[in-house]
Amino acid sequence: MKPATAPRSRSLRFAITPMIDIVFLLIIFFLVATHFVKSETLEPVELPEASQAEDPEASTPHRMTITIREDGSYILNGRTLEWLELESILLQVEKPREKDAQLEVRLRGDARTEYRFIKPILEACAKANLTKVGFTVLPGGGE
Amino acid sequence: MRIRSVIGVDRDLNDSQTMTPMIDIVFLLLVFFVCVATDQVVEMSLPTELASGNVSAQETKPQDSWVTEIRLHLYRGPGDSGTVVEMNSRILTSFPEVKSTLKALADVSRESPVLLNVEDDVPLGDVVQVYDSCRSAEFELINFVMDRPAAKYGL
Repeated sequence: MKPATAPRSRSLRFAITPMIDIVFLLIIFFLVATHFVKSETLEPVELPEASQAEDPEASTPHRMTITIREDGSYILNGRTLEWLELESILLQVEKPREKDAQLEVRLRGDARTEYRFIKPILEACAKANLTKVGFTVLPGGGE
Repeated sequence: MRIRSVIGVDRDLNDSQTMTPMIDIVFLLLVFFVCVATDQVVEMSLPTELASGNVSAQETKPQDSWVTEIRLHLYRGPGDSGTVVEMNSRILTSFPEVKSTLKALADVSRESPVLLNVEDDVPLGDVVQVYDSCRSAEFELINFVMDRPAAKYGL
């Protein structure tokens, strides 16, 4: 005797779990990739410490970060520049179009860099009416 | 003849099927956050406001008699003695002394303008430390002294 079998349900359900799995994987991939791309542009330097440091994200979104290495070389957008090149960029830089928006020049200088390499940047910024300048520091140095 | 039901087996199978990807995702998230959290250095900003235009042309104006200009001269000492801070011709021996002196002066008059005259060979770390001390003392005006244009640009 052949036992009666229950009809096997062959419903074509949309499998959402693997899709979520893949979506998460993609998100993670892009986050990690972005993180590495960002890290690549930030030249490792030994930053000075300051107790009065502020959150960099709280200031203007228009920002130009110049890294100054210990040997006095300047890096802008991943490119090593001569002083004359950097000076011309600073003097010709396009100001943000939004009203009241200011371009901030962020100086990521190594703590051992001599001031002779910083002073010309401050002078060029002042000449170009880039009055908003900030030193990138590490929080601390309270005492 | 009794036929064994397979409903219970199906349920067990479904449970294990839904649990596995969830554990998978949780582990992936865990790994991601561990990766991101390590080697992350929080960089902050120490802002300064520069005078615009031809800054060197802005001479210091005579102040009210009760407002004293604080001139900080930073230069390298002889040998390996590090950076020397001279405040209105008085040599301060250490950075904590600079900080406490500035704090005491700021308590008397925050309006006093602070002028930072930094020599070329002073490391940025020391400049930032002194500037940070000035900000910490809450002085209203902190300026960096620049060269005259005639000296630098041959005007």
